This record gives sequence, C-alpha cells and structure tokens, in this order.
Amino acid sequence: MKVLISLLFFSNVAFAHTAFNGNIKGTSQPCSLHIQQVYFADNIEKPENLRADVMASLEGDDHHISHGEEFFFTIKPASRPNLFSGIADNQKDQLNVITKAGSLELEIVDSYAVKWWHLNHFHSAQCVNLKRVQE
Amino acid sequence: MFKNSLAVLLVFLTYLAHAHVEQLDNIEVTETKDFELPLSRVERASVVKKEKLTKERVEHKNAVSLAKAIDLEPGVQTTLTCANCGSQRVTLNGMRGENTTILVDGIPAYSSVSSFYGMEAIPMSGVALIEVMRGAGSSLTAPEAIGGVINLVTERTDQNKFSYLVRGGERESFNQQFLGVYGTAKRGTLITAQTNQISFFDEDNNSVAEASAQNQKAVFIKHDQKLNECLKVSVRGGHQNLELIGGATEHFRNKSYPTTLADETSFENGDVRKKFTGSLDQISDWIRLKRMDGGGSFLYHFDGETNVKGSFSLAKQEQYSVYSHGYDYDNEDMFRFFDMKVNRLVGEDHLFTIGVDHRNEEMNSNSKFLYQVNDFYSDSFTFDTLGFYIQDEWFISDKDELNLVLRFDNMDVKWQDQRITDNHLKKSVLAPRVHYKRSHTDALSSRFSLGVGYRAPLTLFESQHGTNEEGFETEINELERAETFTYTLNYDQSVRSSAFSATLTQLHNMAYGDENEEPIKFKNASETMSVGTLNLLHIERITSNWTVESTFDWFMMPDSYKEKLPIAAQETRARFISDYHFGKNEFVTTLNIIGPRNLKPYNYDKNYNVLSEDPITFEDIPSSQKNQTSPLFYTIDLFLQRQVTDRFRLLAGVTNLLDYTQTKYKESPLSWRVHGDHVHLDNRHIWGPVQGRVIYAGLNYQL
Repeated sequence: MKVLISLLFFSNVAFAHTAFNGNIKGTSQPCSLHIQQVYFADNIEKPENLRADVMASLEGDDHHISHGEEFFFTIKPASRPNLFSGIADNQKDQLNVITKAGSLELEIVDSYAVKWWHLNHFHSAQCVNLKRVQE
Repeated sequence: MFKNSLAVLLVFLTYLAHAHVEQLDNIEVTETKDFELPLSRVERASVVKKEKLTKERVEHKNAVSLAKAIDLEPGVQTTLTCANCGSQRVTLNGMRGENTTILVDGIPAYSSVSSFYGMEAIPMSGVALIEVMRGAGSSLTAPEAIGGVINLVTERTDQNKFSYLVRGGERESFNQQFLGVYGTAKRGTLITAQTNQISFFDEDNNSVAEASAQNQKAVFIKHDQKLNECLKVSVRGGHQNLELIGGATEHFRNKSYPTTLADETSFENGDVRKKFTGSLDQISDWIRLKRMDGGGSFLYHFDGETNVKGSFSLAKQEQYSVYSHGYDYDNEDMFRFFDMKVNRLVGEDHLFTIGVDHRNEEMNSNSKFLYQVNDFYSDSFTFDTLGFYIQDEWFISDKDELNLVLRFDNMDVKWQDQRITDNHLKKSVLAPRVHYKRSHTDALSSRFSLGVGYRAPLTLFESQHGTNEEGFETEINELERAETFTYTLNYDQSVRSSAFSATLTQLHNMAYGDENEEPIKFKNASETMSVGTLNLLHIERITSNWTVESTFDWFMMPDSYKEKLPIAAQETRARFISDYHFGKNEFVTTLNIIGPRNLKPYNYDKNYNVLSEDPITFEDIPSSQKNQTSPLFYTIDLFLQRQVTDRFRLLAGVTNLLDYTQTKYKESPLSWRVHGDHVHLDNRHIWGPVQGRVIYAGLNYQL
C-alpha cells in the first residue's frame, strides 16, 4: 500500500491534466472529469490525506450550460471504498467520484455525480462510462 | 276578429320587442320577470340560455365570494388551483378559468389576470342575482369568454332597503354584510360593504395548511338616475382588499422569498404527510390584492323604436405576492372597457343592434427574484382590442326566435420584454354566432346555439401563479379559438322544471404551460381539443312547502386536454337539494356527490409523498406515489333559518357536515413533484375538499 501511495505521489505530474470523458446518465450527451492535480494534504503520505483538484464538466447538460458554470472541487477519500468526495468553495456544490472496484487511486475512474446549487435549490447529474483520455 | 287578433299580435310583438330592447340595452342584465315560473332556473324569455342563481341560494351555501357562490351549479366548477396560494378559478363547460368572463350589471369588469385571485375577492353583498351564460359567443361584448359569462346583477336602486347580516363560526370564520338602498323610480343609491375572514385548515396536523387563511374587505356604491324620460344614467364604484395566507399554520407572512426551497430534510423522513420541520418561508404563500374599480352606463331613447346605450368600466388591481416556490411576484393590472351601441326596431319582427367596443389591458409585473436577482423574462404586456358587432333578433313567429350576430375584432398584444420570441401578436377575427329558440308548447322549449369565441393568451399567470422559481418563457403565436355548439331542452310547469343541455366545444390553439420545458414554456397547443358537457337539472315542488332539486353533470375531455389543466377537473357529479319550509323556518339540505376519476392524465403521476436522496449519486428518489385515482365522495351542507319577526331572522348551518377532506383520506394536496431533473415541493395534488366542517350561526336585520 505504501509503495502504491508513494508511486501515486511521485507520479503527480503523470496525473496532472488527466481527463476522463463519458456521457450523462440516460443520455448520449458528453461530460468529462479533469484531474488537475493530485497530492497529499500536509505532505503526509497517508491514504486519508490523498487529495485531488478536479474539474467536472457537464458539456451536454443543456440545463447546466444555461447556467454557464463548470465545477471545481478538491476531493478526498470518502468513508466507503472507491469513493472520493468533495465540496466546492461555495460550501453547497458536491462531487462524488467513483473509481473502479479495487482501485484505490484515481487512475481508473468509473463515474461521478455532481450536485449543484441553482438559485435556491439543488440539481444533480451523473456522468457515467468514463474513459481516460490523455490531454 | 281579425283586427282583434292583429291587435293582440301587435301588442305581443311590441311587448317582446320591448323586452328584447331592454335585454339588449342591458346586454345581459335582467331582472326577475313576472312571467317567469317560480321554479325555473332558466330565463324563459331569453333566446340565449341564461341560468340564474338567486341571492337566497347563495346564502344557503354560506358563500361570501363569487367563487364559492357559483360552485357546483350546472356546468360550473370552482377549482382550487393551488392549496397554498388559495387561488380559485371558476370554470364553465369544462373550459379553464381564464375562459370565464365576469360582468357586473352586464359590463366586463375583470381581466383574466385580475380574476386569478379576484374570484375570491368578489363580494356577494349587494348582488341580487347571478346569471350564468355558458358557451363561446354567449355574450355580445365578451368574445373572449370561451367557457361563458357570469353576470353579477346588483340590487335595484328604485327601492328603500336596509340589511345587515352577520355570521360567525368555527375556524374563526366571520362575515358581515351591509346593504343600504335609498331610491325612487327616478333615482336611487346603493351602498354595500362586506368583511369576511376564515382561518386555515390543517387536517393532518403536519404544520402545513391545506387551505389558506383569508381576509377580505369590500365596498360597492351604485347610483342610478333618470335625468328625463329619455335618458337614464348609472355609475358605480368599488374597492376590494383580499389577503391570502397559505401554507404555514401560524398566520406567517413571509416578507421575502425563501432563499432555500424545501427539500427532503424539511419533513420527518422526507414524507409530506409527516411533520414539517423546515423554516416557515419554505411553505408559506402570502398574497395581497388591492382593487379599485368603477363603471357606468347611459341609455338614451330617441323614440319608441331606437335607443343608444353606452357603458364603460375601469379597474385597477394590484397584487403583491411571495411564494414558497422561492420568488416574489407583484403586478398592476389596468383594465379599461368601453362599449357603445344602437338598438333599432325594424318592422315588427326585427330588432337590430350595431355597436363598437374597445378593451384595453395593461399589466406590469415586478419581481426582485425573477427580474432583478435573476434576469428572467418579464410577463408585462399591453393588450388592445377593438370590436364591431351587428346583431339581428328576429322574432320569426310566436314560437320561433332567431338571434344572428356577426362580430369583428382586431386584437393586439405586445409583450414588453423584447427578448421574448416574437413579442407581438396581432390578429383580426371575424366570427358569427347563431342562437335559435323554439317554443314547442307553453311548457317545452328548445334552444340551439353555435358560437365562436377567441382570446389572446396573455400570460401563464392567467392559469398558474408563475409556475416556479425559474420563471417561464412566452411563445404564443396564435389566438385561442373555440366553437361551441349547445342544445338545451327546457320543460317548465308550475310544480316542476327540467333542463337538459348538451354542449360541445372545439378548442384550437389552447394556451398552456409546457412543463416538459425548462423553464416552463407558455405556448399554443397544436392539437384541437373537443370538450363535451351534459347537464340535467330537475326541480320538483313536492308539496307547497317542500321543493327538491337534482342536478347531474358529465364533463368529457380528452387526455391531451386534461394534461394541460392546472388541476384535475370533476368529470361526473350529482347534487340533490331539499328545501323545506315549516312555519317561519326554512331547512335546506344539500348533498353533493363527486364521481371517481383517474388522475394520471392530469399529470398527477409526477406527485409523490416521500423524497430521499441517494448519498452517492445525489439522485432525488421520490417514492410512495400519490394515489392515481380519486374515490367517489360526497359532502353534505345544512342550512336553517327562522324568521323571528318581520325584520329579524336567525340563521345557522354546517358546511361539509361529514368533515370530508381529501387530506383525511390520507391524500394531502402537498406532494413532491418531479419536474425535469429535480423534484420540488408542490401543493397541487388536489381532487377533493380541503376545507373541513364549519359550523356557523348568524342573524339578519332587514328594513
């Protein structure tokens, strides 16, 4: 495990700007997840300190596009396996990134769900069938 | 003999012509005629079918507003369009509320916008008679009345009368009606005022009211004067205030819109049937209405054959509202109407009318949330229509009467928000109308009518209160247009009266809010809808002091029409009224039976009781879908009065005696409604009564 984490840490550059493309659940509309940076909080190399700065984009969600936003989060491991979660700076928008079973890091992302604050209520969407693309 | 017969015929024709001149002069204004049979609910002399509701009947219902007074009359439904905001719309022949036009003494007085809440604000004090004329083309000066026209006939001023009525009861219900009339045959003045209040209803005690609390105040003044033998003038003015407080059970007035809408955390276990635990502004609607109106008319007789009549109406109504849906919405609606016509008797059997009318409406809306914080489309508009009409009433024989009308209108709507696609609608319409009455015997008569109605859809607010926090877009390209065919058979005798009517309305370009769009789009439907109604009314005087009345209604409408209605319509129903006099007492029992319905075509399948959220996918998960059928149910109302002295009477009654509400049937109007990719709290799962039993008592002093 320690080896794996070390590998992850030292391969930050490799993870930077990694992108995953998929489609919005129930539609063929595109969506994507961009992992911009992966690191350990406080430089302490423990699994629970793993952090990633990501951008979730729902290009195909008409409703979302009309709001003209992309979502930026810092995610970290959640209480259950294969799940990374983050809350946006507005303290309202939320992101859950689901990795492949058995994958402890963010190399193989399966899907993500985003929930965003709109006016006075939340909307949500899921981006599924994510495939890694090299930027 | 021949001369005598001719003389009699001439007298009869003159009488008929006079009656019709008077009828036309007043458009739809009528008074109780001597030749009417006491039981008949349909005015016999009129070629247009005109159903009457007397002041006494209104009192039997404990109704203090037009919306409640007219409910359940043949072909009429009062629909509560949202439980929180308390808007009640009166629908005729199954058409929507915006297709009903309200006249005061024959003059249009309400716009489709001002009647959205205005129906609850229209007081019953001072109203002597309500006339209902159903079907497109039923009024000469209200072509937009696709469903029909309701005319409020105010008390005559050629009398001296004083009346004070006070009623109070459960749910803090309290009503006072004052009426004073001082007049002679030459001049008279009427002053009437009304205050009314009732508290909210929360039948499931979940801290969310299913029926709003109301406060209403109104005053109305009318003056009639015969200036000389040829000229008569009438002026009137009124002021109304209405306040509706919905949702919260603490008379909470939300001064500002909620910044966070209710979600699954706002109710115990996310279940709308359980205790509300959120903040009060998430469930509260607060609507205030302030209205001032005035009008007048003159009638000038040139000679025995020709007269001219002019009338006008002005109304300014202001609305201030804050909705639990998360926005505020205010508007100011200015309504102006003017009509001038000439009636001329030509020969012995033709009465011609030629006239021109002009209607103008200007609505300006404002919303901090919708227009200032967010840049949503404004629904402010100006509406202008200029109409010309010509009518021939042809008394073909003593058994046959034909009424032919041709009307031309030039309509112009401008939506002020330039961003609205094609924000200008300009249309001209030429529409005929035919009414034919055949008297088979003295007791039996038939009426056929074919009328055309057309209306410029103006704002989604006509049928829904702006729908939701994301505003709406307007894409109206056509006028709503309808043809109504009606057949009526009347049978009237001294001890019984029956009326059967069948109506078919073909509605084109129906305006509706498309909820499949985000934001909701106000647009024309592409399909033509056929809506049919059948009504049967029978009144039987069983003994000299006991009368029973039964009414049966069927409303038939296609699913494509149902899905565009704001709430589920009644489809089958029956009503039985027993009116029994004994000594100085009168006892009235009313049984209303509403048939079962399939609610799914009304889009009720989007309504759920429970909401939860998947913690991983953030998906809203609605569950426990609201019932998709409504049961057969019945309600009973009682009314008892005793004439203590000539001037003083006591009255008491119970509305909804069995305390039947849909909420007690485990079906609160409150629901989680699926809209696009999210679910929001709504209160439009309405199919039955939301107000429970109210016991009341009162007294009336009359001079």
